[in-house]
Amino acid sequence: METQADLDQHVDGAFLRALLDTVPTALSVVEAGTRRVLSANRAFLELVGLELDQVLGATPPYPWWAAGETARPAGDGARYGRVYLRPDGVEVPVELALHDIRGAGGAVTSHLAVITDLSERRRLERQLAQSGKLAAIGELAAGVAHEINNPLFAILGLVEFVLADVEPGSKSHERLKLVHETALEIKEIVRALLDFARESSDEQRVVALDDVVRETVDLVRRTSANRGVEIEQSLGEGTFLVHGSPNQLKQIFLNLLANARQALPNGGVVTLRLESDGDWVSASVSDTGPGIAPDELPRIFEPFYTTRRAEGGTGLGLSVSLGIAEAHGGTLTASEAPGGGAAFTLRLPRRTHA
Amino acid sequence: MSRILVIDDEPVVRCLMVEILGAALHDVAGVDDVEQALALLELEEFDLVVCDIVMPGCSGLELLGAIHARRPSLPVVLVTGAGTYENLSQALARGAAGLVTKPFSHAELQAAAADAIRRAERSARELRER
Repeated sequence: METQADLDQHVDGAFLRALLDTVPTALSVVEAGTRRVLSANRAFLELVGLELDQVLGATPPYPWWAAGETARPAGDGARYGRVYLRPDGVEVPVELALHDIRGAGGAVTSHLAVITDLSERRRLERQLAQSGKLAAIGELAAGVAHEINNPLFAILGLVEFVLADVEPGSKSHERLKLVHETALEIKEIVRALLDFARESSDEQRVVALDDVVRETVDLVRRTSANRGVEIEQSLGEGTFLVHGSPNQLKQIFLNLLANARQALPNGGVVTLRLESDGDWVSASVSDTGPGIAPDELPRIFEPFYTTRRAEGGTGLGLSVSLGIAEAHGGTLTASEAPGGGAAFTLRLPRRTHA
Repeated sequence: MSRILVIDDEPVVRCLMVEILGAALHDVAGVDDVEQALALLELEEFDLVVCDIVMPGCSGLELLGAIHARRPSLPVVLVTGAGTYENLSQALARGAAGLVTKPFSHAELQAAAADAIRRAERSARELRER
């Protein structure tokens, strides 16, 4: 009891503020009814990117709310998600939990809001969903390949018999040859899908980055999404060993190739280059598109940032890729390609042997 | 002329394989499941078995074991619709004489069959000479 009494002597406004500022969770106190901000701790100011005097006294709609946010009921225990907008334009998904604070008379005088930043959790969730999707493709691919290859073998095998019966040089012979070639193309598509999906786990091992690039390019070349865009590979001599998950590394190249393709709606060239530089392996993907605007450059790796929202862009490709690169002890950077297009460079620690 | 037994549950695929191997002057019989295959193997002599790796009820790998338990020297070529490394290494580890991946050309199947028969004949000859 003595201790509590001792403490009471020290508790005043300054003490409480100092105490709240040491808490790493963003906290704010708003007046009941008006929702006027009475107090906010340091973590809150960092979250919204504002100074204390810009926050105190503010009433809804608060300047840190993203467009479209509206006031909600503030009962004890209320919990809901919101999106905050920082002055630098970054959107931050958050979750709020409200707690009533009662005055001396027992009436609710204010509410304490405990605010959790969800950006990192969202990023991890998306990354997990993405790699989960890829693993599911791996499991499906072998089954699908078997289902397709059986009838495909029937087509190819039968056509081969008929080809032998038909007079060479005749129109029927030419047409049958086309059927045969087309069926062989299907065979290659299935093979590329199988190669791509062979690694169904996220298991890390020593892997040749040139194989990862080849398999990814092979698959992308065979999708209709790639029409009009030429992919050039310059994979250098020898193999480029790195330690990591082939599946996740493929995802980086898939994302970079998809971005490059989207930057080239009227066709163009995407160049993939692998180089060894000291203790690092660097892989660059550059395109002949319009490049990245200087004001966009600092933001392109942010989760949910996209210049293609209308076309269904999620703003996750590059942030997920960056996350994978960093999880592999590497980096992913953007720059301008020699011709003015965009260039992305992935650098990973090089392994000299398996 | 060699005698070959083809096992595949897909009628079109089975008939096609019988015809392709027949075109290479082999005497070929086709059955659509493992029980029929094992019954036929009890009754008749064959130089080679060609069998799909994925079939309802019993996989080609299991059949491989069953055949080798009865006729250790009879070569078995496995046919697969999904040529994964896993399939290949399992097939070889269990003593398959070959593995062909669908869709294959006539020549590929004929070559795989001829190769398996030739190697089986050679090891039989070597056994006799010892």
